[in-house]
Amino acid sequence: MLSCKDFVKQQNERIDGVEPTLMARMSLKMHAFICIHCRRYLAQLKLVDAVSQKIPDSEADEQVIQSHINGINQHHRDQS
Amino acid sequence: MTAHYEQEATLIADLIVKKPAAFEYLVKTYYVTLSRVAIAIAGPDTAEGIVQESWISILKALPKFQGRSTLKTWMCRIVANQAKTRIKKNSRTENFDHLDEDQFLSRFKQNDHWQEPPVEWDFSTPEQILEESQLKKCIAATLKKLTDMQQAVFSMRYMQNYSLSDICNILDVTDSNVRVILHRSRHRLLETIERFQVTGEC
Repeated sequence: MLSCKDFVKQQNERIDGVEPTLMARMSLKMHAFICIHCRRYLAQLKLVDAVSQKIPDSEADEQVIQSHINGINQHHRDQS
Repeated sequence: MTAHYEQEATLIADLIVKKPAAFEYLVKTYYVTLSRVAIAIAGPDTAEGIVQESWISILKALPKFQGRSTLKTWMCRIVANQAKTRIKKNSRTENFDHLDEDQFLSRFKQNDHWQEPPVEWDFSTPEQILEESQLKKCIAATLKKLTDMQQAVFSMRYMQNYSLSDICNILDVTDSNVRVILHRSRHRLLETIERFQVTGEC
């Protein structure tokens, strides 16, 4: 029977797009049916995945951005 | 006010004719991602210079851009190549200690079943989690503690929607290492939420 540790590993793989075989899928389903901890883990893993998609990316410092824009403009002035 | 470009083709055309508004949009939109790529490969000390040099390389090469990938991915590759050239010069080697066994897996007994099973949460939607301001801060703090490479992989995957294969190509990391990094990052977040659930603190 599939262990809880393998269930965790395989569900993570699945989130990253690795589709399990039909046998593996059945074995994951069966395991979730009998193990309350893994059922809870799976719900939480899916929630973490959904939260991660909604976290906004950090914003750059306005001064840093401006210095990069200035750098490009300076380069163009030097070229012309 | 910064111009907004819905169409990548319009942005590229304006960049080629050197419209300042297009440069401004380019830098404001892509700086964070490009900077993360440079930091992940070459480290924080040289990343700023690498990105600065890369803008010039990007603008020079732009007329030859054939649209086989998105502009964002193409630019990331240019930055990654500049960063790799720089680390060769400086003989910096990436530290892959972060690819050790996932700490979360210590929650299992020797027979690979739970020793420390997950605690039940009061949260059931992402909105509930992100509306809790203290928890949101804890999540941000957890992400900041990830290594430079982990931060780059996580943000490219989740915040910028890059495919796993693009992340591997840009950062020069194997597919299995990218997945290990993502597993570990998710488990860190899971444990952050769990800790908050139990203690009300980070």
